[in-house]
Amino acid sequence: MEFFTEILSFFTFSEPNVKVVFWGSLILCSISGLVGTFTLLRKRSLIGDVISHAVLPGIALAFIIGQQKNPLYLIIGATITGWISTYLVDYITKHSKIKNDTAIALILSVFFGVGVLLLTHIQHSGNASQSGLDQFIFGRASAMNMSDVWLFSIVGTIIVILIVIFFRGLSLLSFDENYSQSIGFPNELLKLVLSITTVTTVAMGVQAVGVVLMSALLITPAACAKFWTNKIIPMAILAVVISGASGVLGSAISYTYNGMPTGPWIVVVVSLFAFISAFIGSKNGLLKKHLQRNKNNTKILRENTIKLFFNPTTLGETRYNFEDIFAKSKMQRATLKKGLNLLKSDKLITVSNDIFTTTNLGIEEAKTIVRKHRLWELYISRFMHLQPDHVHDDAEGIEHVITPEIERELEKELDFPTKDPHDSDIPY
Amino acid sequence: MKPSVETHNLTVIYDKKPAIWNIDFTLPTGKIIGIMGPNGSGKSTLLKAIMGIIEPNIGYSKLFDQDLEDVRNKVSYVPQRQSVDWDFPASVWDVVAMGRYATKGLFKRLSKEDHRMIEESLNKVNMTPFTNRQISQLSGGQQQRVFLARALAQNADLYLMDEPFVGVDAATEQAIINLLKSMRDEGKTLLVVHHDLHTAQDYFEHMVLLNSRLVAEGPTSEVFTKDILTETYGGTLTTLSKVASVLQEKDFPMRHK
Amino acid sequence: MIDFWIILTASLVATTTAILGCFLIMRKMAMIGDAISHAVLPGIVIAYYISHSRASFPILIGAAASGMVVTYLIQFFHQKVKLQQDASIGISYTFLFAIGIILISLFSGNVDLDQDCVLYGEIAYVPLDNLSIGGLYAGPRQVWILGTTLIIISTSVIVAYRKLVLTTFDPAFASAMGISVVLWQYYLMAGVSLTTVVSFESVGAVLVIAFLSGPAATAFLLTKDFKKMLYLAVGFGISASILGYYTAVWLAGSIAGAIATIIGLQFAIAFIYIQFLKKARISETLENKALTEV
Ligand SMILES: Nc1ncnc2c1ncn2[C@@H]1O[C@H](COP(=O)(O)OP(=O)(O)OP(=O)(O)O)[C@@H](O)[C@H]1O
Ligand SMILES: [Mg+2]
Repeated sequence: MEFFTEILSFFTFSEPNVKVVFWGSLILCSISGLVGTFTLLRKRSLIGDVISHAVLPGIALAFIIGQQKNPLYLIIGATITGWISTYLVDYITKHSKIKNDTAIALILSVFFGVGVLLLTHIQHSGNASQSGLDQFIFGRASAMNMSDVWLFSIVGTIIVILIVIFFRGLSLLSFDENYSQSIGFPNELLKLVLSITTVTTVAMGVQAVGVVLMSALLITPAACAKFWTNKIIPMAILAVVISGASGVLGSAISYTYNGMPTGPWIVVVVSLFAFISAFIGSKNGLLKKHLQRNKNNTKILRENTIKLFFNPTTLGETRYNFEDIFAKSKMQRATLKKGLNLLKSDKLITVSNDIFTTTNLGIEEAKTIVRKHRLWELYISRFMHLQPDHVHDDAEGIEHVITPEIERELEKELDFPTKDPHDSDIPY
Repeated sequence: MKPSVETHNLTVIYDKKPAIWNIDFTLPTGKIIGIMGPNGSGKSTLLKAIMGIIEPNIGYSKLFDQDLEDVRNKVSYVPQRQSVDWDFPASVWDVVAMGRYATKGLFKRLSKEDHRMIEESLNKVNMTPFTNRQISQLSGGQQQRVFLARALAQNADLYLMDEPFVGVDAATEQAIINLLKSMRDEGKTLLVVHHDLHTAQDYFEHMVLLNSRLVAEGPTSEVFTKDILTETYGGTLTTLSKVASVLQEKDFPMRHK
Repeated sequence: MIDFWIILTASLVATTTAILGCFLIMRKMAMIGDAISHAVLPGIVIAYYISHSRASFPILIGAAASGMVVTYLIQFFHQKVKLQQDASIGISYTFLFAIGIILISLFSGNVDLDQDCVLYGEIAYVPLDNLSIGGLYAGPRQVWILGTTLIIISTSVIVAYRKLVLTTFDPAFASAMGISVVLWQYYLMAGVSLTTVVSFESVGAVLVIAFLSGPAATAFLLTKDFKKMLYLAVGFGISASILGYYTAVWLAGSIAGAIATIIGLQFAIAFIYIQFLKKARISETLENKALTEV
């Protein structure tokens, strides 16, 4: 209960500092959602990881040089080492046999190591105002002040403007680098814009999220959005919204605990968004897949059941009682009952006194499915050079996949055949 | 005579889409057999499925009328040269020695006999002068010959080779084909993925033409015809690819219970 | 004596990780070390919390459990819902690591772990936690644990050397020979997980990646024989430990951070040396060409 009142007090801005935290995390996280969309699409997510670890020595150096926690110095220092790290990864990969993943792991951890060495050096050398530095490792949004937020807004606006100006080029670069090159887009310039915005975003973002978890803020919001859309503009917007919301929620939660770092909470919140999207998202989401499978299984069951009613001699009506039809089928009792119910509700069969009789609709359906089966058998025996005794199993599966359009094509391609490979008639 | 390779409805599905579909054939023994087809037609996939490197989704294959597990040490596989990282720190000898690992288990040292076979294999492909060369310092053709030597060191009865002539100059290609012919004369069977239509007729006595489905299989004189080649290389069947995309889009099972 | 124990601890970690690192980087799996080392955190914290101690066994169980969770998550994202691989890895391990850090903060009264040491270890405290056998001083506990790990890892690698090399160099050929690529992959991953977990206290989650990738990468630049690469990597690891320790003492900074810095320097020197060699060779061939043309 106390937790909720605390959260509520956060969102009512009852304390002056809350406003700073709110706007600070909102701005930082939204921008990283935007920039992250491009990093994700360019499959360079792990580069985000390198940058975020590599800003640490920059922060430490800025601190040593500036002798205090000046946000502008820190951002500049962080941007410089962050940028050097991506440059080094590319340089090493290009100029030696070292592979990309090794270069990433090496640069990430060595830069971080240098940062740790410098930070601990500062701490042990007893610099008075060093206490603020820890916040960069796991982030502490509550340590921000209003002038930080102003700075973030200004730099953030510049980043957004850059991205908007170059939007078309950046999108094309992300989807298809070679094509972009071939139609004469300035790929090198675009890459530079992207790497500068990414590095700067990370350099700012570490204040709220910390260096260790910053890469999550580049990867996860964009990944969430990818579960909902394939178009880049909606994707970027969604990533910004999710990221901003996670930033605010995460800092609100961490705010209610004393001394709790912000970064982990933001990451947990945004990860929850990712799980939710993976389950219910409209692109590749589990739920959607599940429903599609169910639909497929129903279709297969329905068609397999009506096929049992096919009358090979008269091509007309058939009547069976349950036991007869069960003996014909290779299904479980319960499955068959389910199938029969499907047919009944679709008016393909009627039932009276335990006798199932095909309706006209049912007769046609049964003929159609048998026709598809036999057409496919003929097709694959002709075009895949299968022996007649090898075609049945495949057709059992594919008959359910053949759409009316494909069926017409098959008929035409096979020149309206009358016999299948087993010399049975193809019913029309 | 037992068939060398026999496949039954062999089907491999990547990401819900069949890469090879219902491949059904029986190949003779003691011949050089070509596998041909356009890029992406599933040639490599077919070899991998036969060797059990990828599990086929449907169907099975038999080698010399037996299961793969029972004849593994009689079969040798030569991967596409680009499939490995040639920067790996190893010498030519190290790579060829891998061909002897199969029979050696974990600890047994390579015997005199093993050493002799490794040297002999290197000799057969004219790579003896390069025995101690680092593999990163080989030309493409030399790399290919190292792979061949490794296969020779396995002393198998059936060889499955994925594009052994790619990136090889004319003289080396001739040397390799002569080597393959002499192996054939010793009664070995060679299944070779090949791209060059001009040389195919000279190299192969038997052929498999592939375009994600089996287009034709038989003695070269019978299947290397204009019609069949047009069918193989003239693009995929539209109906077939439509069915494949419905399978993928709607996530339909190809077989169901 | 304290110097000695710290350097020994670092060298033990460096040796074990260098051996595994050689296989990892040749398999293009260097970032898996990154994912594992971060992802085991929640398991370790919960194990600390439940067992109220730093006993190794519960920690190993906890770490193994979170290792399995992260493997599952990565697979879920990559295979079940078709997210690209790099993003799947990124989401999964940052999530688990965040949970771990939150748990540390929540349990802060009860768990003897602090947030920073999770990242870069506290090797300096290793000599404070000693083991005694039958009342006799037997050296730091970590040294025993890491020594045992080194023995386990090096024997496992020696025993499976051929299969590990074969599945690393040419997985398709190995699998055609009937060697299970997946099995040996897991074998290696188990080794990496064990090593990251036991090195956790001394070098932490991020710097263990430097130990895994750095010496192996430097050795890879300098040799063309895999066995030599293994020896060289171990050599670089140990020398970085020694130099790093004294650098840390000199700068009054983190020991693990200093070792990682030295590892980076070693790589930089080797890299520049190789570039230099290449240039020399190119100009030599150019000269030769010029001579023959004249
Ligand atoms: N691991 C994989 N995952 C997904 N799809 C794959 C995979 N391997 C191959 N494919 C796809 O399967 C099809 C067949 O590939 P395969 O490599 O067998 O063709 P190929 O005939 O050997 O081609 P090439 O002549 O280029 O070597 C291609 O469309 C390819 O894109
Ligand atoms: Mg191929």
